[in-house]
Amino acid sequence: MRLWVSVALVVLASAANAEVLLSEDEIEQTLSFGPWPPSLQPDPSNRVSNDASAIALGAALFNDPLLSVDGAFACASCHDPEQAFTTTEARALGRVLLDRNTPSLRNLAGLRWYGWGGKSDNLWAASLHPIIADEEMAHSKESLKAAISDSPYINDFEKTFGEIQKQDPELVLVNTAKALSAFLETIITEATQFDGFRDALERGDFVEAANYPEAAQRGLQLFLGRGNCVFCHNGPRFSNNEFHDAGVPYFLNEAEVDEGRFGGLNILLSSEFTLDGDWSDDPDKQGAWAVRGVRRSHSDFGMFRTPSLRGVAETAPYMHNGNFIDLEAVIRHYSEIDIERLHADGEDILAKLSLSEQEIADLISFLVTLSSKP
Amino acid sequence: MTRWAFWFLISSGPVVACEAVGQRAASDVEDAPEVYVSSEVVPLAQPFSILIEVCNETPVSEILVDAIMPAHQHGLNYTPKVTALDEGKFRIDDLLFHMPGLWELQVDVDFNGKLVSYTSEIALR
Ligand code: HEC
Ligand code: HEC
Repeated sequence: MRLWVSVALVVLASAANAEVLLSEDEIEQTLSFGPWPPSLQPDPSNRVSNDASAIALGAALFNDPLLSVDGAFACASCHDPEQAFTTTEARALGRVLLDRNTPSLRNLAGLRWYGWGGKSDNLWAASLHPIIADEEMAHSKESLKAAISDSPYINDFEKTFGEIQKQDPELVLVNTAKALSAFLETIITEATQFDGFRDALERGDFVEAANYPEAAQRGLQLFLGRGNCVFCHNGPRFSNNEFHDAGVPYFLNEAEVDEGRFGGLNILLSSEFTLDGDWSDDPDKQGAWAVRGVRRSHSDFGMFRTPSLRGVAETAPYMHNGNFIDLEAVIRHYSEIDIERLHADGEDILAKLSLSEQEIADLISFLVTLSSKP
Repeated sequence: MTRWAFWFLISSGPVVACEAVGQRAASDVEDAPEVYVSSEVVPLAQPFSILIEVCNETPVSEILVDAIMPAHQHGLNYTPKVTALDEGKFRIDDLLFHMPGLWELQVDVDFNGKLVSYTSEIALR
């Protein structure tokens, strides 16, 4: 009995010490980062979205080097499921050193754009590109069809998509990508310490919310306030899914730059695999408004898609080219950014923050709570 | 569902001969016909639609709609789709405000060859 009382007192005492530091306004903004996980509809452009056998087939293919012409790589070679669906290399190593960092493939369902430069407007097109890219899996449509026909997956493939010999090689390619996409849609990160905090605030449970570390709360306040991070990293995924210049050097070598969104739009607008194209399974062409209405601008050059920050602590190194080795390097970059050197003209958002060491540590503490692994 | 508050800064003036709902858009032109903008709650970084009504005796058949963020010197990443409904009413789809802050909606109305510009401010957070 006595023991129970003292335990209760300890809990009360620690609860009294910890508190919610956020203002009402900050709480309101914090709620907009949830709920998590979001409720997702099947992808109307992919008739096998949410289909259990397609998902199983996609998972098997993802891990199988069969999808590269000479068996050199699987998707999983770069997007390693044991490493949050990426690897620790700054830039992906395909047949050559690629220009970009391998993104984690989590929480991709339902986005408006895929790829650092947004070259795809749907997940099956984003899954299709690497299969036929010369520097990556390097299949042709024909070699892919032959590989699948001769593989142990042929029965599962035909169960989902019908007889393969009746399919054009291009249809086999698109179907393969749609199975991969159905699988990728199921990769969703778990609720995190941050979500526990956010949900407690929504319930008005301040005792529970006060368990969220004060350093992380201060970091969140900076994220919402002086840091301006929320301008681009907003919503439940901490990304507006649009394209910005975060001041990352974008030279590939002395003569070339990564064109970012500019190049992404070139590929998108000449692609037959968009939501507006014939390969979409959606008669209503939902989502096609974006590719139809997207505007081109001079400032697309060197802009990259705002990455989601969910699970970010698990996916170093960072940025489109893996330029920064850890979160501290990213925060120091934002702290010391030289706005004169921003290449995309006119976006008046980033400013040199000159953060103190304490503030840098606080922002990192906050970002770490967006992962389920401590 | 969404929590982004918004409001329009409106110019004052009596409502005449028009049953339009929503907020009145401002114009620098004196005695410009009234233009009203109405919408549901505006979501951040997601597409939304609005209704615009031009109160004029002879209904106008065409308007141009755009938006900018004055503080950040940038505009919309997508061209909004304007559909004429009946009697000076228009439905605007595919608007997308990709950042929180103050947006300025710009509506250009062609009154028999005379172009009048209207603005309506939307604060999104
Ligand atoms: C050689 C390494 C490598 C291989 C192999 C590879 N990828 Fe990738 N993946 C990347 C890189 C690098 C990017 C970023 C490309 C860009 O933005 O231009 C990427 C981007 C993606 C994206 C877009 C992610 C996002 O956040 O928008 C998807 C989806 C994807 N890959 C799926 C796959 C699938 C499916 C396979 C197998 C068919 C595969 N990848 C094979 C390196 C690889
Ligand atoms: C103007 C929009 C914008 C603002 C403001 C902004 N970011 Fe970013 N952020 C981006 C973009 C775009 C990238 C990717 C840039 C690139 O790869 O070149 C990025 C990348 C990142 C990354 C790396 C993620 C990864 O997976 O590689 C982190 C972490 C990050 N931002 C955190 C922050 C923090 C913290 C702040 C506030 C101090 C902030 N961002 C402010 C747009 C923004």
